[in-house]
Amino acid sequence: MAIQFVRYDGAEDFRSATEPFLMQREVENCLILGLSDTIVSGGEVAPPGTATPGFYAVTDG
Amino acid sequence: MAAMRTPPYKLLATRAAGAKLECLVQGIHAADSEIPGIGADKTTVKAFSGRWCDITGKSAQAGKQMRIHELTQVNPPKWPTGAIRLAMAADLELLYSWMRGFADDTGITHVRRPEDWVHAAVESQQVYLWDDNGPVSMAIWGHVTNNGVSIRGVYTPHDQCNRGYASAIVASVSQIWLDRGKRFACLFTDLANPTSNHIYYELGFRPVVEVDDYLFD
Repeated sequence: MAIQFVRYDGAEDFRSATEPFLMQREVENCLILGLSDTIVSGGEVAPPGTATPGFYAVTDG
Repeated sequence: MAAMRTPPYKLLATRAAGAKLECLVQGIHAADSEIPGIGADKTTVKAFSGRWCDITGKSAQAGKQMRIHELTQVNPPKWPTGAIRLAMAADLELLYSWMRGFADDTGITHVRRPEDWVHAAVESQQVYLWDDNGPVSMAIWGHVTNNGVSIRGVYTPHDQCNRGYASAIVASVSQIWLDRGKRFACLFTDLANPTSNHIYYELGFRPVVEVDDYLFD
């Protein structure tokens, strides 16, 4: 199975795809889990006017 | 493996090695070549930074060396006088000042201005104060995950240190979330600050992983 780099359109897609993986190490990944959840919820995590967040994964294809 | 970035901040990545790490480096280079740095576990950060500098010609500078700790049961500290309370709008000016003090003490300066976000954190009841005839220490709960909560922004003004206030407020905020049904509270500490690492260990926090920042020039 070829691995591939995936760029998600937004936080919701990212969370749907990666949450099971992230939750395997919930404490270690708490920052990514929390930040992405805040964005999904409409919260601000960066100064106004900054570029759109990027969400990525490397998957097994 | 997964990664994300909220500009202007650094890339955050989960553990990765071998072909997946190489795939991440190549993918990020194509998608977001201007990343200012990366934060991840020590091994991943070092490997990513090496390959990133190979590809981009940039240099990497080691930033903060942090440790994530997890608490599942509070060891009650020796309680100081005073009590915990939620911060209020009337505390905002003090909190702005304390967040600047926190940034100075920790060297974490690449964060949002306190005036841009602290008021919202106060409104959503995320900011707690230890009050002993006035506020003497603060702690903020930040990100909530399925089973836990992160605690951050723990700050005690220098003239109020060594009185047990920080231990008391972190223990109290942790217990609040355990009582709400979360399994753990977690926080980040600077490895260069043995005092805070010791204090948190005494409260029941245990090391999970060491995470580093590398910044690219």
